[in-house]
Amino acid sequence: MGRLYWKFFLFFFFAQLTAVLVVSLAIGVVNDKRERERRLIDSAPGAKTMVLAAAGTLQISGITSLKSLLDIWLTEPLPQLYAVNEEGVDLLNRDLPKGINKESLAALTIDTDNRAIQQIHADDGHDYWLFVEPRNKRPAPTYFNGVRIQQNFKYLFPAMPLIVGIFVSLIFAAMLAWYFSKPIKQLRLAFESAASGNLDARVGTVMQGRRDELADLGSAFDVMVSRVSQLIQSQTHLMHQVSHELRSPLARLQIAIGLIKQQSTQADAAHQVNEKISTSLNRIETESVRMDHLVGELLTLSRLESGVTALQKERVDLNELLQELVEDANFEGMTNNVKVEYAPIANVFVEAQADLLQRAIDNIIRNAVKYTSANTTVMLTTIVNQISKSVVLTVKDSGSGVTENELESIFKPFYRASTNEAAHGYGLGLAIAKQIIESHAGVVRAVNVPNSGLQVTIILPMIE
Amino acid sequence: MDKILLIDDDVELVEMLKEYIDLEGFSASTAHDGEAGLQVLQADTYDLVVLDVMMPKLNGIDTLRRIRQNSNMPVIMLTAKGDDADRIVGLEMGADDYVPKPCTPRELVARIRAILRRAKPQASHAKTITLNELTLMPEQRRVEWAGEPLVLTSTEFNLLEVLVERAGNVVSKQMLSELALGRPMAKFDRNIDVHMSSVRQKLTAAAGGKQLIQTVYRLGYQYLK
Repeated sequence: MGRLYWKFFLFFFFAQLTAVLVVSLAIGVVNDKRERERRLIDSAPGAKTMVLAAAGTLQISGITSLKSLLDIWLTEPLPQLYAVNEEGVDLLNRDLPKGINKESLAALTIDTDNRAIQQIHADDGHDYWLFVEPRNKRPAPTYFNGVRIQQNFKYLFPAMPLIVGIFVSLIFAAMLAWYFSKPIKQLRLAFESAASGNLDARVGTVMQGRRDELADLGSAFDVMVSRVSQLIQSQTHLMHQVSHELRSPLARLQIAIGLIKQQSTQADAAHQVNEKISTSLNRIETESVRMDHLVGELLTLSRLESGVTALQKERVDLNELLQELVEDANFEGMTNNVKVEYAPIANVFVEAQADLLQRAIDNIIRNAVKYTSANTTVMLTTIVNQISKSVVLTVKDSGSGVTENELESIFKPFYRASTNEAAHGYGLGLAIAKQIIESHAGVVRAVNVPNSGLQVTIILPMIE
Repeated sequence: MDKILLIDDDVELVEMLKEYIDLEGFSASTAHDGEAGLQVLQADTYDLVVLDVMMPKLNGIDTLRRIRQNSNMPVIMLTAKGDDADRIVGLEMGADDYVPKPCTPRELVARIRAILRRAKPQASHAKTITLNELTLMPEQRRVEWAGEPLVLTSTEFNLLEVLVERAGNVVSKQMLSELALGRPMAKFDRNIDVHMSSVRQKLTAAAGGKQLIQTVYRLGYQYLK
């Protein structure tokens, strides 16, 4: 759900709840008062007008006039107005409405709005209470035998509104919180995806239909990622094109060299000069072959990085793949008496494009053979991790290792390590290897092994 | 003197190559695109074609396909380095071998020589071999199945010949490469696999679905007796 969601939710929930409570209370109090009033006497505006009229008549014209007025009113379709004296007797000797007696009248006079019930001292020497009978003639339960019962807190504290309030608040708060936190979560996921290298991440489709600042934010994100992706693609494309273009002049160069060599072996004048030319020519040829090799590697790397060609994966026996590589590597290591040892492991299969994967691992093994000290052994081990369904391949050499903070950098193209005295850096071998392994959903890392050298670990997912 | 046709759109390169190849004792002609190359082939007979893959108008693969419609003459492809897809497709289309470009002209000539040598009937393997319905005639470089001729490219014939001569035994890919192509197998080389797949297809089609060539895991191929 996320913290933002809960913050929104709780805030609005309590805000709504409080509002509901306060309003309920206020209404409750007001209603309660009115309820009480209405139960015994009518306190509607109409009733108040009647009481006013009656009071006015009594005060101005006296008790007889009031009696006449009441008599007239009895013939009209009006609610009855009672004039009750301090003995509890009505002026027209009517039966009092339920709950009305000397004591309750006294209490009512204090409690109620004095336009609904008035106590007037009449010219006959009596006090009269003037009020209109209640429209619903049921007595208030708060008065029992004239005794005022303790206020029932139930009516002051509105239970029903509270329950409904809680319920409704919950729903609306949840909805509101969800409405805001969902797009924010989507954005966050998109950002994370882009940051981890997936430049196809877009939010637009997910946020479709939404029109507000958050949707604008989503659009801005999409534009940004799209632009970055384009920039990277054009760079990769450029590298690809450059490498491609370099090939033609290189091809021609090699043929030109071949022609000179051809002709120089056939000429015979100035034997020494020919030797010198011959040496230089060989040098030129070597260098052009090197350039050619480099261009090929650049092309491979740029092709892999741009993801132009999809990998053609198949079920590959890892052991078989490694055996071949180890044989070749042992052959190459013979010049420095470097051996490559490998403990075969059976029945390990990965889903891979065989030639690419072989090349990647080959680059790493050759690297180890190159940098390990003379007369040492490069150890190749494979471990199967059943839990994560992956195979862990380690290549350990006995060289000088690599400085700690450069362990990640050696996989960068053309990186030159600081401990490296040799003229050649790591070139593109490791960079290509990393690219290939990662496009096979694998991981490659390097660590220093104390008293040994560098250890490169490759982790690849296994299949049955 | 063997006649070589070079088809490549890089004019300067092709002219230099022609010069080189001529000095090596061949007679080289050039064409600068697929269409022109096909026309030249129709006008005269050649012993081998060197064909660049990436050309405008009719590209290498399509040109190869057109050549193969009429002839099984040896074809060497010049492929872009690192472009495996084109290479495989080319081999599937019937090219005999490929040489990555750029390469030293010496390598190219060595390849040409190797392929040419094996494209000619060799005096040492004069005898016809018959195995059930299969009849292999090395001196004519022809194969028949139940009397019907089997159309194979030069390299495909070589491969089949090597297998049939050792029928019942497994022949390693290395040996196949050296004997049929005249070169050791390169790393990550799918060459032999593609050629064998083609041979197998053609043979099975002619034999009415019978599988005669067996792939032995990690060891090589075998022709079943």
